[in-house]
Amino acid sequence: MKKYFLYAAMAVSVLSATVTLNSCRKGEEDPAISLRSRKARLVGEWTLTAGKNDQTQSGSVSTTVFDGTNQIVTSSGQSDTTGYTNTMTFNGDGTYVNETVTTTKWNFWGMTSTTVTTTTEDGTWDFNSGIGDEKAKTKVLIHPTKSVAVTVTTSSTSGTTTDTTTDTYTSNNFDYSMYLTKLSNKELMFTMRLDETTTGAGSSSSTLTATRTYTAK
Amino acid sequence: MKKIMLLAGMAAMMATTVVTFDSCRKGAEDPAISLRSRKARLVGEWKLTAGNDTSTNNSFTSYTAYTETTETVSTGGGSATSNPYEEKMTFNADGTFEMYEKTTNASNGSYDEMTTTGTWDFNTGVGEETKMTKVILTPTNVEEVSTSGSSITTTNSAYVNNALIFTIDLVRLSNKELKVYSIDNSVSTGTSTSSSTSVSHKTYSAL
Repeated sequence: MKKYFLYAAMAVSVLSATVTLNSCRKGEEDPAISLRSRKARLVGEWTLTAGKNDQTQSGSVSTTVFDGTNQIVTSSGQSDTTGYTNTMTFNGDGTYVNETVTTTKWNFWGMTSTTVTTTTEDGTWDFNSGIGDEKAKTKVLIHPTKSVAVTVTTSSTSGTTTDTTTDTYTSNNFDYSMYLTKLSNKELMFTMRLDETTTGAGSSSSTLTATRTYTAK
Repeated sequence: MKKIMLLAGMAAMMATTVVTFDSCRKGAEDPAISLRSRKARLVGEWKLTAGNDTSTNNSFTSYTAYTETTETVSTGGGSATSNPYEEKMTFNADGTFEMYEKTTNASNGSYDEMTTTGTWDFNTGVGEETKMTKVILTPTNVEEVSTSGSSITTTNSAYVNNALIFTIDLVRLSNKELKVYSIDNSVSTGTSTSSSTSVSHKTYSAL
């Protein structure tokens, strides 16, 4: 009989511990159990492996699919593929670096041109604190401070040219937030949604739903 | 001797208490001591009482000065235009907010009203940033009403939004007074060049 009580107590204890750890889950696809804090899980280097933008603007629909090496934009039945890679690095001191490389190739009757644009954005990040119904640390708030775009064009007719544009921001404003659907040690998924419906004078509507999946480097 | 020790002990305790309260100060002009949490102080209705904006886009600069009832816009050339103006903000404990502003044309009485509603939050302070020094606003609805003569135009923009945010930097947050600061400078160099700056200071009183 004593053993019976012991087993029952152990079962209740295990169940209680599971419920406690499970309550740490904030994003819909978060791991059920994690012993690392959300900051510890987010900090590190992440590589884009998949993503999608679904966009509508006044009735016209476009879709952009990211597969880790390319972006394929489909609109009005036509598709356009461009080389696209993206890495995001979140540092423990609250800074981040977002690097995107796009590659466009062009060929016209044997004349070729390749344009590679590397855009590096620096800034600071933070979590939301969760006032009201919103859960704490379900969003990452992004505040860019500098963006450098280097475009290198190599043409079969005019050689190589390099253009650099630097945008520097002095601001105390966060620019956008990313809702964390999943934050595990190895995988990061987020969604961004912005639907706007304007009624009255000059009615219009637009929708944007963006999802991204990153893998830890 | 016992009395001296007792007094010294009390003085040490008081000094510790002051230091503890003082360390709660987050904004540059925050009160040294507050027994209410920052959320409790922020929640409520606030009315603009003073402020100024300076905006420069490439070489064009405009200045705006606010009082409790007027907005005066000048471009530095000596001419200035004053119009009736009011601005209010309400932060609710459930995480929702409402911002309201109304500008009336002093010469013909027509006006523009804008009401923005949504949700608010504090920053958590990752890295060097101090937590609860910023209010993050996520708008969900913007209604604009404009009048011209007898005609009224209403535009309503509803957002399903978890991405677009605005930030207010809290310089002072007391029970009765709220001071905010905003800076947005952008400089582009290289292939194309441009610059714009915007600096704003506003003071609100609790209603």
